[in-house]
Parts: sequence; C-alpha cells; structure tokens
Amino acid sequence: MSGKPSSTPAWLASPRARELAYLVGLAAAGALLPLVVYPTLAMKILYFGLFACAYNLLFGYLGLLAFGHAAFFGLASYVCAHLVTVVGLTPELGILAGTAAAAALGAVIGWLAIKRTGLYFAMITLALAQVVYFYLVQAPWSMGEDGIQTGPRGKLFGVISLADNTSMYVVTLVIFLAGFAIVNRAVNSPFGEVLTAIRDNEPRAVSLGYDTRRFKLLAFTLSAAISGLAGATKAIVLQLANLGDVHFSMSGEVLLAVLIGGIGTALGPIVGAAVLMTMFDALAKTGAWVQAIQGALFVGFVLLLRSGVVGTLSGLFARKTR
Amino acid sequence: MLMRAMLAGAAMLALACAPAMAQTPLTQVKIGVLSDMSGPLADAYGPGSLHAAELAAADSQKLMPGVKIEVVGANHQNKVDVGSSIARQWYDQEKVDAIFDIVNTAVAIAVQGVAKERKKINWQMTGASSLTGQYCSPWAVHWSTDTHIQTNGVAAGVVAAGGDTWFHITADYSGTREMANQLKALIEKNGGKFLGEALFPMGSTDFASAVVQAQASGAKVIALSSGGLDTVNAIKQLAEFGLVKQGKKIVAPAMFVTDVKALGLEVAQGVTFVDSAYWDLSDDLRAFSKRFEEKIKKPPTPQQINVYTSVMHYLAAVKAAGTTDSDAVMAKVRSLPINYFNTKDGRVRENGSVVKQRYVFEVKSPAESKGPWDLLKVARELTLEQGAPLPVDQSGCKL
Repeated sequence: MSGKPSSTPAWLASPRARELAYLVGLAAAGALLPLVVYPTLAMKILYFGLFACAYNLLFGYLGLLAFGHAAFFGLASYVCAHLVTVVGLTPELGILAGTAAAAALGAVIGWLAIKRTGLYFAMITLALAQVVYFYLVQAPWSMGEDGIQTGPRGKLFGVISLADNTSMYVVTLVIFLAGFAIVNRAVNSPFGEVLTAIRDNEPRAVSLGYDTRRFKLLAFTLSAAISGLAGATKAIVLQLANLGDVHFSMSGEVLLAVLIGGIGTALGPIVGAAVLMTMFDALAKTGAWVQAIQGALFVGFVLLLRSGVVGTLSGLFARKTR
Repeated sequence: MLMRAMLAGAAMLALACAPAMAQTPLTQVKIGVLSDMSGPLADAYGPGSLHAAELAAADSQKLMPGVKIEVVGANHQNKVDVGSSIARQWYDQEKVDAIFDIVNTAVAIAVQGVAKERKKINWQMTGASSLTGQYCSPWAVHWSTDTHIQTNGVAAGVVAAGGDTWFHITADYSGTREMANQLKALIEKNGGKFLGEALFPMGSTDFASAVVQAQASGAKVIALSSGGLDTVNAIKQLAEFGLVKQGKKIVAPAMFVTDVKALGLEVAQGVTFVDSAYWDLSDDLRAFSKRFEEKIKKPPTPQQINVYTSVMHYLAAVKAAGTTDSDAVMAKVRSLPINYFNTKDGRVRENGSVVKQRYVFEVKSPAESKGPWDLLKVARELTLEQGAPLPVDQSGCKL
C-alpha cells in the first residue's frame, strides 16, 4: 500500500519533494474549500482530517488497530475548553495544553497497550478509552452530559480575534497543515521505515536490533498527541467540548474515515474525513437514515473497496501509466 | 460549485449589509426545526415535531397573508457538533429566524450558545433547567417542562396523596443527580421521608440490585431520576420483581408518552409524571390530534403539541412586532399572553422560562384504556403557580 508507483515523475521521486508537493496542494485546496462549503463544515473537515491522519499513523503505517482514539481527541477537547473558559487562557495556549494532555495520556495508555497486538491491543485501548469516558461523565469540571460551553472564541495570542469565521478558518488550516506535515515527516523518515518494518514483520525488526517497543510507544504517543491537537482545535472552532468527543463511536468514526479514504495513504484520511463530515452535514437535512447509510458505507468499503478511495485511485493510475 | 460559491458570496454580502436593513417591512419568516429525526428521541420529537411546526405555520399563514412562512427541518443525530454547525449555518447563511425543538440537552445548550452569540431566537423543549439558569439568553424561550417543574409537580402531589416514604433509583450523571437532589429537598419540604438511594451507571440494563434495595427499604414511592431507555428498562424490572403489583408508586419525572407506549400499560400502569399537554385532554386538542394524525398516523406527544403552540406563539409575536428583529419579537413574546388549547393567560418571563398549564399524569391500567393511544389520565391539575418554573431571581440567570 505504501509502495511507490514506478511511474512517478523524477521531480517527485524523493519523499521530501512529495511531502512538499502534498503540503502545497493541500494548502491550495484548503484555501479554496470555504468557497465551496460552509466555513464551519470546512473547519470540521480539517480538524477531523487531522485526527484521521494521526490515527492512520498508527493503523496504516504501524498496523496497530487501536479502538480508543476518542480518548485523546476528547480529553484534549475538554482540557482546552476548560482552560479557555475557566482559567481564561488564550486559544493557542489552550490548544497546546490540550495536545500535551493527550500526549501524556497517550504515553500511559500506549505503554500498557503495546504489550499486546491484534485483537487484545484493540480491546485494551477500547477499555482504557472507556475509563476516560466515564471519568469525564463523572468529573465535576467536565460538566457531565451538558459538556463545556466556552463562550466567545477569544483572541489568538491575545491580539487576533477569532470570532470571525475567516480568521478562525485560517488558524485551523495552519494547524491542520502543521499536523499533516509532522505525520508525513514521521512516516517518510527512517523512523517511519522502521514502523513499516515492524508492521510487516516484527520478529525480523527485532532480530535486526531495533527496540520495537520503543518505536511503537513513540508512534503511539505521537498519534495521540496529534489526535489531541485535532480535538483541542475542535473545542475552539465549535466553542464546546462534549461527551460525543470521547464516546467510543468517535473512535469508530475515525477508523471509518481512514477506511473510506485509504489505509496507509498520505491523503486518504483527509479524503475520508471530508466524505464523512460532508455526509453528516448533507444527510442532516434529509432527516432520517444517517446511521443506516453510514453503516452501509462501512460494509461497502470493507467488502468492495478495501484500499479506499485514494488507494483505489492511485492503483488505477499506476496500472494505466505502466 | 460555482453556484454555491456565488451563493456563499451573496450571503456574506447580505450579512455585511444586515444592520442597514433591520427595519425592512416583514415579507418572510423562516423557522428551523432541529431535532433527533432517527434516534431514540425521534418518536417523542423528530418528524412529528417538524409536522407540528408545519401545521402551526399553515394556521398562522391565514392570519398573516403576504408573509412567506417557511419551515425547514434537520436531523442533529444527537451529535452536538452536527447540531451546533447546522444552527450556525441556518442563522448565518440560510436566514433562519428562529430554531425550535432542539431536543437532547447537550445539543440544546450548544445551540442556545450559538444563538445567543448571534442575538438570534431559539425555543427549547428539553428538560434542562440550566437553559433558563446558568446558560440563559435574552433571546431564548424554554417552552417545555423543566426538571424543576417535573420534580415540584410530582413531589407535592404524591406526598399529599399519602406517598410519604421515598426511595430513589438514580442514573449516575450530573443532570439526573441534580434532579434526584431537587426531588429529595421537595419531598422533605412537603413532609415526606427520604429512605435511601441506589445509583446506576447510564445505559445500564441490570437494575436487580437497585430494585432489591428499593424493596428492602419499604418505601411506598420509588422515584426514577433517569431518562429515555434507562427509565424504560428500570420500570420493566420493577414490574418483573412485582413491585408494581405490590402497590408501590413509581414516579418518573422525565417520562415520555412514547416510553409508556413502549412499556405497555400492563407494566407501566400507575407511573406518575408531569407534562403540559396530552392529546385527549380537550376537544380542541382532540381536533388538533386528528389533523396531526392525517400525516403522522399517531396522536401528537406532549412535546409535539409544545412545538405547535411555540411556533404559534412565535409567529403571533412576529406579526405583532411587524418584523423578525430578535429584540422586537422577544418584547412581544413576553408581552403577549399564552392562550393555546388548555393554557389560559400563561406568560414568558425575562429569563425565558414559561408559566403555563401543567398536569400530573398517571398511566392508566389496561382496564381503563379504551384505545391503543388511550394511555394517560390527569391525576392532578396544577395551578399556574404550582406548575411554574423557578422564580427568575432564584434561577441563577444573569442577563
């Protein structure tokens, strides 16, 4: 899935050039997006796309199916909303604090979960994420099922007002591009090569002298941190944190986004997130059937389009130009 | 795509010019019904709420010819993110003047925040009393029975009728714990005795331990502070353990008619709760129910009747104000008396809480019921004062 098509033009041959090309392409697409869709939807696509990229780092490149990423997304969202509302931090500090909280939680959950693989790994992450969920249901500072309302969006660095959708969008786009660049750099670095090696054959990676547990923990923590970055950004964009962010269905949705877009592709998670968010939005107007269609989509992609939209398209492209 | 881009541009232009055109003559009103159209609350609210709003729009249209009244609906899927972004899109881009229904407490609070920031009107139908307290907005109305009204209504009535010892089965989250605490204070104020409480986690399906504790306490009344499926499951198990047959009184302040229907009268008989309307209460309600049934095929729930009357009241206020400007409309919303169906001279208070007719309902026994939807009888008709929300100065609302 991560194999390079033989027909890549020379200037795109190096991973660095490709990373840069993706980044420029995404920045351009991101600049045009609000002209096509409502700005709030555009921002939702961005933060959820970033969340899916973070998940893909673990699922696509390390081959670990985690089922508890809602904990990182949600905890960061809550921490950010709480600090912005109660302590009065500026949005960027709130986002940083949320990301840090998610990274710390990721290190703890990761340390416990990577002792196992496969189904056991998925179950451990799910169980620990449920602990976080019920903690946030009960904790007095998280305001129970009401969630936290942050009120006005506040001012970035204490100067730039984010009340306006355009400035909020630009900030979200910058955060998204930064997060995407970090994930992509990690994947294309020697570190990323080791992750792929572990995914394909862990005993061999061990026999080559790699401390695979350290690599897995690092990747898990990084994935959790970027998930947290997405969740904290969400709290600022929508001015709220709620139990939906930490609910296990959120872990399912991010998995679905990666499946739709293409597992282990750089752009797949973003495409998947765009499909999913647009679908929630468009189907909201038609009334019922949302969950049924979401389920059918999941089944359809798993059965018919295993490599997702991006995976299938690049496969077709590679075959044509061969 | 180009079309949408142009539309978006046009909308932004319109937005920029908005202050200049605040006083244009009234030509159109747009109402949004944001609800759970497919989930657990869709029967009590959902498509029926949308239809109730459409009926209210049709009735008001006769009184305001020349004004285009439009009703749009959306399904928030019980996702706060989806609900809050639809509200933004409706207010910012699609010129929706007021949003109704908004069931699901978390979505309701989020949408009220979005509306307040934009000085837009929203009408609430959930139970959260914080909507007129901590989160209150000068442009919001909380039309339905909130937790204060629910607990206040049952506590006084049931204690007066001899139910003087109480046991609580409470879902363990903040809203329901708060409800249980309110109830406890009210029971003691009315001379009843509180014997104990069993907490269960939200979404539980096993209530055996709570039921046994309730039985062992010897309390005459068992109060369920929970919502939706939890309430349904708890009542089922109370019936299975024979507590209903032993003559225990079950009080479920936040009960829906649809829950009663789901449980069946055999299981739910005698359960007591507070609500503001019921389709079979009076001739005008039965006539309305008939119209409603033409499309929805079952009588309106109290919540859907509330959506109808709230849209009627909103449009009457718009007509009186001659504009959709939020401040002008809200002034009329507060000054016009509420006179729909069984409510006489109700009113909307400064913090958005509503004084109107409310009842303590009791579920009929199978022998008393004469039809598939003949489910409730009035145990006690509350006066406007007895059925009123917390006084404004005690609500915690800071405007």
